[in-house]
Amino acid sequence: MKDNISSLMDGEFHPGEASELIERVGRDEEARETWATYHLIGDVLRGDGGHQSGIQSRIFAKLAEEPTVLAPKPKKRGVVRAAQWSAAAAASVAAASVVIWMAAPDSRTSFQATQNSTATELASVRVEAVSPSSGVQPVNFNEYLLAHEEFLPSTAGFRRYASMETVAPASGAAGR
Amino acid sequence: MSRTSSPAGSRFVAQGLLKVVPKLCVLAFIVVVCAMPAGQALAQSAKGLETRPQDAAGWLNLMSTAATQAVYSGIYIHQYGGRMETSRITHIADESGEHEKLETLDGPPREIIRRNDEIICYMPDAKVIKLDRKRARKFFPGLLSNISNVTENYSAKLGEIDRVAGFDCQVVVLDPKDSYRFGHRFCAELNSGLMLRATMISDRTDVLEHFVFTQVGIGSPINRDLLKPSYADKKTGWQTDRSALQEASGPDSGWYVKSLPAGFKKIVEVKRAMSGRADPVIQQIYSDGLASVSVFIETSQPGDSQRLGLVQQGGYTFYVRSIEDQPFSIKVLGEVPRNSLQQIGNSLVSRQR
Repeated sequence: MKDNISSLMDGEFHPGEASELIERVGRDEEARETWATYHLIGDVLRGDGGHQSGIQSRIFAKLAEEPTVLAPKPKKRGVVRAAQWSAAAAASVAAASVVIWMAAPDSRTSFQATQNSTATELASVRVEAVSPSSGVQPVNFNEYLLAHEEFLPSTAGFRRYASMETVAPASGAAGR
Repeated sequence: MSRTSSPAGSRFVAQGLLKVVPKLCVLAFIVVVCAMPAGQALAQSAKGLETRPQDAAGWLNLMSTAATQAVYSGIYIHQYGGRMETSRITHIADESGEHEKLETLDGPPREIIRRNDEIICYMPDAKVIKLDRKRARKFFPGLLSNISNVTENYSAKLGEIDRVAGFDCQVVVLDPKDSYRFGHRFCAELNSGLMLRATMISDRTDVLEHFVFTQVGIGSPINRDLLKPSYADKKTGWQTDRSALQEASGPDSGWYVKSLPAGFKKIVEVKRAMSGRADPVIQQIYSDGLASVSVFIETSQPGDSQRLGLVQQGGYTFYVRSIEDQPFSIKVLGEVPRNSLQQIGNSLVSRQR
């Protein structure tokens, strides 16, 4: 694997084979680390300094540390997290492409495309799990929320009575 | 001692003072120190408390009793799920129990009149009077009512003296002992023990829910007219909604949570009609005294399986699952971490099947 990565960096792969390996580098943490380390070695040899050291693992560690979504939480937090996610994903893509640009201009385009899509997939998987999914919404969750709010230690359950009526005309709540 | 004009006399007086003043200071200090405890006790008993609780458990008890037994009125803010709502509360206690009026100051006008367990809610925009019972419900500042075993699942400790609505208050910290619940911070007014602020926080110190008095009066007599509903004489054309009284407690459905997180108990089970649902939906409320979880059990319908797992909605996380080989759909939500929702939802079983 390490030899393959080394060869890839030296531009010794055919485009077809390269994309498979690149995908693997995108998936495999160890391979990513090797990729980064080899570039770091290259950078140091060329006198470019070691400022990229461990950046990918740091970014991914940061992403792994992202707070799990707690219930309840303010609506906008989800948006903020999604934005943070895209920023982090963009940062990792940027970091990766900077490294590639410096060492392997030939494979830059294809790798960037692959890495880009991997990052986007990663981000979208995570965001999917925590935000309202974009698909059909057959279940009206608001009504369950209202039913739960009736037992909150506040006026919340009473406040949204009217909106519940408009949401649930068939509930037969009002009478006599 | 009179002043003297002779220099010698002046010197004598000055020397005398030099000798006497330090002694006077010591004496004065002793007198002040000795007098302090008595003075403080007097001041406290005049305001209410004989002695202040020494530990966190004592403050928790005091907050619980002060909410029901004290006389107070004020305005508080409630923040949760991205919402912020302001209400006015007027509360008195006499030989017949608690009398309380809650008015919403923003959003749709609501007046909630409570006499002990009975609740009447006036909703002028909908022209509806809703009758209800308090049941296991709690209202700020009575969040700690009926809590005896809170320290089994939370470790309690005293925090600093803070200030809320112009009153000094004692911070009491409740940290969860496991990962199934969130932490709480309370601030109790020093002389009455009334809860002035309550905050539910995550382990990452995000504020999840927040109650705070912005203005409050404690202990002064309250005119009973302030407890009367404003709409009592304008009820023509209004409807009375008794559904909440009717939906209460049917026979036990047989559904129960096998692996309920420690300290949680089922506090109520109701059956309710819901829009888009052919069959009545069972709602069970579980609580550890501070946080509550709603479990909805309903007959499966087409479309239910489209959103399974953790679903984010309206500032809350729902845990949605279907039961294998059985036509039931389960929804769980509440003020607890996601693993709590999942454990409750996943261990829900029916005694009858």
